[in-house]
Amino acid sequence: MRIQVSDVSVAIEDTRIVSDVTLRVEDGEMVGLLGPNGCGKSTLLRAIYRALKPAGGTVLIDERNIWRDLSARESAQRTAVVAQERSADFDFSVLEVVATGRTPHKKMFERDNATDRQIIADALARVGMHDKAGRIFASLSGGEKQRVLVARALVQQTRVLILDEPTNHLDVRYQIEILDLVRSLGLTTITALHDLNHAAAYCDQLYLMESGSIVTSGSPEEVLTPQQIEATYGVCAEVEVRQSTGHLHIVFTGVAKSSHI
Amino acid sequence: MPSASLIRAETGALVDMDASPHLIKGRWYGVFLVSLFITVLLSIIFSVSIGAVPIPIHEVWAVIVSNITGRTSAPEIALTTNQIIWDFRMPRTLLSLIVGASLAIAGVVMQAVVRNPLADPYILGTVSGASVGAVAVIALGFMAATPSAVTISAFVGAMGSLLLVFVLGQRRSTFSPGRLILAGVAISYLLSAITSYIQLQANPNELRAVLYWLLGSVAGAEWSDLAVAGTVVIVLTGLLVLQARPLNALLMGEESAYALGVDVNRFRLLMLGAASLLTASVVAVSGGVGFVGLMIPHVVRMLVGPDHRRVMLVSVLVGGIFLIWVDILARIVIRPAEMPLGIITGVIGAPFFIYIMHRNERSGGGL
Repeated sequence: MRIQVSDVSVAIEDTRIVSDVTLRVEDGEMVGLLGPNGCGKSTLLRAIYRALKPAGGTVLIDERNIWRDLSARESAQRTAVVAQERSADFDFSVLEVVATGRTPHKKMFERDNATDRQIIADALARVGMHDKAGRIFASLSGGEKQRVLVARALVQQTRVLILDEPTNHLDVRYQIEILDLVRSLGLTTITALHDLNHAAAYCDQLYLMESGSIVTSGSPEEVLTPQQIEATYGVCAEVEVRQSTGHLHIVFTGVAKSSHI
Repeated sequence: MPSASLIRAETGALVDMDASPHLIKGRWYGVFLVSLFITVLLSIIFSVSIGAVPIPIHEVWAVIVSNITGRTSAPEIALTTNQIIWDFRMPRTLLSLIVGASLAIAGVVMQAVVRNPLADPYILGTVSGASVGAVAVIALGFMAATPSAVTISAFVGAMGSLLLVFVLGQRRSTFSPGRLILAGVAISYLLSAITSYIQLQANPNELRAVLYWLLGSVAGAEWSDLAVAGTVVIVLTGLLVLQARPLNALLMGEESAYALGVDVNRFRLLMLGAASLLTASVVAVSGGVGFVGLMIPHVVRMLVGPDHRRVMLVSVLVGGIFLIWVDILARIVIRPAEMPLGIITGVIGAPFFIYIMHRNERSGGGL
């Protein structure tokens, strides 16, 4: 499945948060969405997973306009989301959280059948949480919670996966675990990321946002240049290709002198 | 068959699909459900046998069977016994079952939709509106103060305040739970001011009737009350029980709900509307029975966990059983007089409320 976002603008209460964004994710590709805090990454993603209706422009998932041709339910049969979630006041178990991934596929009072249960078990095992199925979700560590939410997304059995800063608040080991896991799924993926080195290592294409607009896009080598990093984030950086991994490696050397931040 | 809950995943790992942190798990859930059904039946029979004239259980049973099967009366049973059971105690027992069940499920829905464990069915001002309606009839002689006039006026009052809350709480046709609750609180204060003012004008007899109504009672229930309220309640409860999956999604968070294909704004409005209509229907016939809608959902979640596929059905049963027993207590504590239900639910409810509060502090639930 392919994501095609064309000229999308999103406004919240008359304030324009995202302006005329166009981006494209090819089948099976992993695309990173970068940019400083408050630049509109989450808002753009919400327009793609049908949580926030754009003021203008179109979002196509496999040539179908998600706001015109698909219901909320049909959209959720195609696109799964790992959003930034606050901890719940209610004590759902890991199994119950993962099982809600079947919601878009089930009728009102249809029970989970053997197929559903197999899908849920597979997803739990896939993210390595099968031993903790009976634990209370809220009692898990940040990294475990993210893995459970990825399992829920897997249970949705979609071809498209959207992640909003999946490595937030995680220790470095969990960061790498979660990104390895997402990369290994082979889904059409778009993810907002903070860490530029992660973006360079895991993504095929990058889009860089600034105040609601895309300022540049392309491969990590094309986007993550010292000049661009300084212009967008206001920091000086050195960029080199690591021999061992073949990935870009970015080292920050200080705040840019002419920085407006 | 101990291995029935184990599934082998494609990775080869074994996953226990009955693993659960909740008190009642796996096959015990079925046992629990059956025992609740049996408890409902036993509670009904017990409730019907209790009162100013105690009636032995076997006579209760004979009267129920003879009335349900359509035979006029069992020959060995006095006509008055038949009348006490079938015309007076049965309607009030069934009404308490319906009121308890409805308030419990309305509470479950409200708490999930506004994602706040302290929400109850009355947060959108239904009970304050109903009070104004009821008190106006009882104390102002607005209409002849027959029970059905009170019921109708209370229902109109509840719907009026509900409408007001939705009109004031909306903003560009979207309904955020926070704004609706604030509108509900504001309207409730305004309406209780009106209720208090009317009470000041009332004479002692009227005041007593008002007080009984405000604290809730199922005394004087008739089959005709049951027919109307019962139908509304059964239809709405059915509608709400079917929403278990989207309610789960919403309880986990707004973004989760969107991600799982719930049309959040529309769904929330529909659920708040249905739960409030349900509340208005039962409050109109029983008055403002407090704490049931707050307490029962918490008790049920402590037993079976927060999954609405279990919580909804269990809440209906536990809420019904609870209020039948509250009504039984109401009839015996100050016999031969009767206690309003709200006093008993309040005495049980307040300590419970504090317990919930402390429990949440411990788990860092952030209230």
